[in-house]
Amino acid sequence: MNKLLFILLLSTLESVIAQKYFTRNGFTELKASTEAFEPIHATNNSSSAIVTNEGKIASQIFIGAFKFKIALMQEHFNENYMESSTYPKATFKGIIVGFDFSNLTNNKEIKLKGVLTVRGIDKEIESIGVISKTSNSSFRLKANFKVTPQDFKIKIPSVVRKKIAKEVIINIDYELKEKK
Amino acid sequence: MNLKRRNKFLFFGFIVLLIILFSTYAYIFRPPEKIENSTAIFMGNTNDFLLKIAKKPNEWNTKTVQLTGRISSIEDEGLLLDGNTFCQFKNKSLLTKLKKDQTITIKGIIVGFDDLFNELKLNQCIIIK
Repeated sequence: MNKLLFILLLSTLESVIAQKYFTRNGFTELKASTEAFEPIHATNNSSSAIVTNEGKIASQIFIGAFKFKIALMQEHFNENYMESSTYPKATFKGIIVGFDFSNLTNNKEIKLKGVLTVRGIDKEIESIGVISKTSNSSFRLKANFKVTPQDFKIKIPSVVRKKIAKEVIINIDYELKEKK
Repeated sequence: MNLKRRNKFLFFGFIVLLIILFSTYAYIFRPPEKIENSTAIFMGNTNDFLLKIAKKPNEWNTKTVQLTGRISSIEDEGLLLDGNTFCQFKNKSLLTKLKKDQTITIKGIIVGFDDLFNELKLNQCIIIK
């Protein structure tokens, strides 16, 4: 236990030294609605992310913190599809290509590359996002990408297959502040 | 007479059916529980709680707890208790009334142990005391 704690501490120490911009309350949104059925839409405004000066990004999100309008949908999402008690979080590790805070302009298009891990399964992600400078010490990162339930081996029973979109859209909107 | 009885029976049957339908509908489409109405399954201070959950932190995710601690910093969206527990507030305007080093009791939902920041994270926090 102590050893584990020590390793954990070391690894976090490393990330603390390298870290530059961070957020604890990033907004992540999931959309998997199909027309004519109950909208499947969840939001999570407790996403964490750290971006270093070189544009390396590490982001972490707890599955259980996704909020749905309907409690039962939230339960099914957690228990049947995401199995959040076994896989409590999803992570994204990657790079914002060409990130340079001093050269940021409004709505600058950037490329986001990295690995998204959901349910312990990795998937390479490449997406176009937008960065805007919001102050001298903060910026806003917006991006979206599409994944499919099969990417993460999520089985959808045939009864509800028509109600869940084949592609799930993930929108992120994070405002990151400089770590002082 | 017989017909009247039958009608009465049908009428009550119909009412019962309506109630069943309505309660099923209400059950299926009920909104998630609000923090104000949910009961905390742990009450105490942050350090005790962190020790308690150290072995299996993820089992506590999405549970409601009530924690007491000293405010180590106030951020835009929440506050940090004892340097180890971050509480994201439901109503951010309440944060302006608080001061650093003040002792406070909050109720919130556990998001999880965030190893990017090495702290426990709660959201939808409300002030108890």
